[in-house]
Amino acid sequence: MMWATPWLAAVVAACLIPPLILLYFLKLRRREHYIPSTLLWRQSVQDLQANALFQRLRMSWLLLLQLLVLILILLAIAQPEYVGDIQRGAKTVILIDRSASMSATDVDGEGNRLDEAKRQAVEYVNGMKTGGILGSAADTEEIMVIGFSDEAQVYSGFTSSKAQLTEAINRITPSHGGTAIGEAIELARAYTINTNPEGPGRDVGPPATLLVFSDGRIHDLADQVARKNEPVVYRPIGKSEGTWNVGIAALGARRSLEDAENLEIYVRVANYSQQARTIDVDLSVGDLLVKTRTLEVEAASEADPRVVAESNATMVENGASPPPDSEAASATDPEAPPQLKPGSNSVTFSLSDPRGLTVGIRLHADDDLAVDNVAYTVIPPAKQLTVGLVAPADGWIIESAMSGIPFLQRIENLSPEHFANLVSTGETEKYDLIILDGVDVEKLGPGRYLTFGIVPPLPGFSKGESKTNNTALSWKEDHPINLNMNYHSLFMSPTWPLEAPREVSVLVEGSDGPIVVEAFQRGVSVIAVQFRPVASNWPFDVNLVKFMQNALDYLGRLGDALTDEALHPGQAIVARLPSTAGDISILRPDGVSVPLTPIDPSMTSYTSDVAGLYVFKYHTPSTTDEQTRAVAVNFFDEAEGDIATAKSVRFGRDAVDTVDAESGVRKRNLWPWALLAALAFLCVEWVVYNRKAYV
Amino acid sequence: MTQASTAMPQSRRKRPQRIDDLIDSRLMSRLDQLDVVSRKIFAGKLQGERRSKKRGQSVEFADYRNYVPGDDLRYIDWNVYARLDQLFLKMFLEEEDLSFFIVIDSSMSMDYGEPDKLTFCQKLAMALGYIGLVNYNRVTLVSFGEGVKHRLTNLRGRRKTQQMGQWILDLQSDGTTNFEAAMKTVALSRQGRGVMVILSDFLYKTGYEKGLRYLVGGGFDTFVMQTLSPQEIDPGGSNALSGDLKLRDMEDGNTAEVSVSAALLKRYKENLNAYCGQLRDHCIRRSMVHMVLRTDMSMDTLVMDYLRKRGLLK
Repeated sequence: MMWATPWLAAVVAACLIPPLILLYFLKLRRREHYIPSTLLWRQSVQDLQANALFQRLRMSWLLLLQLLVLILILLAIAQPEYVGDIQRGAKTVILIDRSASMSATDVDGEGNRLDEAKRQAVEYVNGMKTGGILGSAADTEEIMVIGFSDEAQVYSGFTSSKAQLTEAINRITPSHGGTAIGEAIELARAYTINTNPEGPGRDVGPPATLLVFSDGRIHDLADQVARKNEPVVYRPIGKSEGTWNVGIAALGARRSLEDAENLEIYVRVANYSQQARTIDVDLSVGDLLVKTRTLEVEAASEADPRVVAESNATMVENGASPPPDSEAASATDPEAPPQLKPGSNSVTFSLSDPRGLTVGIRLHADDDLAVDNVAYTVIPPAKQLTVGLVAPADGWIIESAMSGIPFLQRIENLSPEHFANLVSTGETEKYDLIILDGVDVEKLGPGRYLTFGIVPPLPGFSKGESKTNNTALSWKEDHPINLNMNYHSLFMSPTWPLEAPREVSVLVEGSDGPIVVEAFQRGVSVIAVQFRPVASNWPFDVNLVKFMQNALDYLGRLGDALTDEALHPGQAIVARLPSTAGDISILRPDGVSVPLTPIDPSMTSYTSDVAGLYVFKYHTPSTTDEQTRAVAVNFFDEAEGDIATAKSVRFGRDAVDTVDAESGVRKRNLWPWALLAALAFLCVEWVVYNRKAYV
Repeated sequence: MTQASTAMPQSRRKRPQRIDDLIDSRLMSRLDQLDVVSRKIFAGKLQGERRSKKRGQSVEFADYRNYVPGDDLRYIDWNVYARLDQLFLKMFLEEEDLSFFIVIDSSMSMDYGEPDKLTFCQKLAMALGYIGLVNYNRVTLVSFGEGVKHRLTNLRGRRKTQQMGQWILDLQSDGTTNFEAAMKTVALSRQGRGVMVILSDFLYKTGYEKGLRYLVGGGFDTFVMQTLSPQEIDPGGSNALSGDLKLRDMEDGNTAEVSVSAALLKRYKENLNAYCGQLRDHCIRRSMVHMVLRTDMSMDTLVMDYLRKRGLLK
């Protein structure tokens, strides 16, 4: 129970109740009436007063009724509101989980968990304190809306406008990302902490209430720290029992380098429910259903606690502290959901098709979460590369090193003059890769380059002062160019050091400056090698062949490389489109087409939010047809796949107040009832007065 | 008359101006047939039309007795002497007059009610007085308040009707009541024996007991006529008292603050009934006749019916 305008009612009460009582006991003006004798009247009054108990009580009935009516009216003026258990402060931050698991449909009625969360949030907003009819602005509650999945987004700043807040809440769309609340809480605190400008570091005013609408499947809860006097209320959405979900946990495609036309699709299916399931798995290419397999997936099992304990013991031995939630969640929180390890099974499909494919996998499961029942992968065609080689006479070494590469269609030897012509005419992109082996050029056209022993004519690159005998110290092993490479056996004759700008990526670091760097500048992608192979021991080493294959595979397919990346919802899709591409747009999985503006002439990005196929569409001057490039964004998140709602959550070791769905936020204005009761009592009083049943 | 008029301390109500206003000729002719009843035959100074236990000079034979020297020789029955040769004296029932006292309360409190109590008493006194006069009773009228205010004594015969009527018309209600002092004066001044009628509301704060005690004995047959207006008997009636009132006594100005309610009205009626009951018991124990008269009673019914039933008239 709370009061919108208690002080107003108190003032009115102070003004009205004493005069009412005075009217009865002090200021009662009586009409004068002459009678023959007061003998019997005085005696009668004395008789009535003699029965003091009942008569006094009866005498006060009318006064009591009037006081009751007055009190009810005062209650109505105070505008009582029933708001349940939640202590509503002056400021509230509504944090709505919009992660993938919130798309589960285990809610009563239509829609999914996010719809239910939004409905409850709107209900909460409708119940916000507005200061009442005559209330001051200070009594008005302000609410802020933040949606979060992998990342947090402010949908509405602090406002008391119900319309604005409702609109903001309805604007929240489901995301297929994971759930991380840390950023959302930091964002909320950034908005809510009121700092006194005259006393740095000192907060003024009470902190805001954080109201979290979520299913509790938040992976970074253990990292959060509850602050003193910062109320955090958790509103569980969805069901903690009786839900089931199976989903695609992994999808991979492998193409053999030896046989580019042979493709293997690997699918792993996870079962998050505690019953074994039999699932039909469909594989489709484009829109055509190609194959169906039936898969038995075992039930989820509880994680072996010994594994957890052993893991913690190991961490303690190593001087590290165990995860704060591991003990707290499992040992001290009786309501913590059991740690379940999903059951899984996998299936492999084989495909033989040389063309570029869009492969879709679909599970036939009527479970509560549909988003993880579909996954896509885009298989680029086994592209045959055309390489331009600008090299002096001894360039045959490189040419011969490339001769065994299966996806190399042809090598064209270019003279420096021919290359200069290509640059001037802008035709450098007709080669998938141009190799500059020790030939200095003045300018590079748009395209992809592999340079040996020269300084790329790009801003920031320069030649060192004196020659050095560089040796490799370390290299990025996770970069495709360094796949299976070993640079320790590399020896080179003294050459000029390569001084590169800071923003380039050093792939191989040498003892005296970088040996291999990668640079992207205005449509030009360059991998620059400091030395020439002929001036090293590489011609006698298998590393030259491996390096050339890696370089061609990486640079030659750079535009398609994004298909190899495992993109998750929430990540940015970066497409390297031709620099001449125009009318670029992206078709989202939900069918919405969004126009895009390139970041630079050959780079376009778009932040994905849901899983599915994203298709870049663009036009180039060379062709009239619309060019497309598909990108798959998949939901492979086992943490989100387990959709059972947590009954309670903890910030580290601190339990968070949990309010179930049926209590708390529903505010009911009680003043109309008080007014109605006052009216009813007024009628009773009228009847009593007319019957003179008072003394 | 409205409730406001009853509330006025000095009434400007229209009082009877003529004898006809007090008693109309039709009623007067019917009253000629009535007479005042005394439960005993009383002796009187004048020979009236009333039989007395006292043997006297009348035509109605009563008894014989032996002659003793000194008796009036005129009452010797000579026929008996002739037969028996003994002297017997004839005795006759003596017819005597009856003292008829009509005592009227003319204090301020009588000026209340609709019809007001004083007017009612004037009319009743006129009727009773007329009956007394036409039956050759010795009619005495007394008005009292603080003490005896006015008196009209020893009227006799129809010829005195005018005089009596005028005296009644001249009555005014004013002043307070001292019932004890007034009755003391009346008791001391009355002569002979007869019937006494007291017309008052008997709502005396000093009590009626001492006053009535003076009237006990003395050879009078006393009728206590407690006259109350309908507004006194039922304050919650048509012109009901309601609300929060300061009731002011018309005589002494004392006040009683009341909030009129059903409970209070009920209690008032109970008290009024108890008060009247006490007065009645008091009278019965002293061989007096008590009756409560409502001022809205028809004078015709009252005199021709009620008072005959109660034994005052025949």
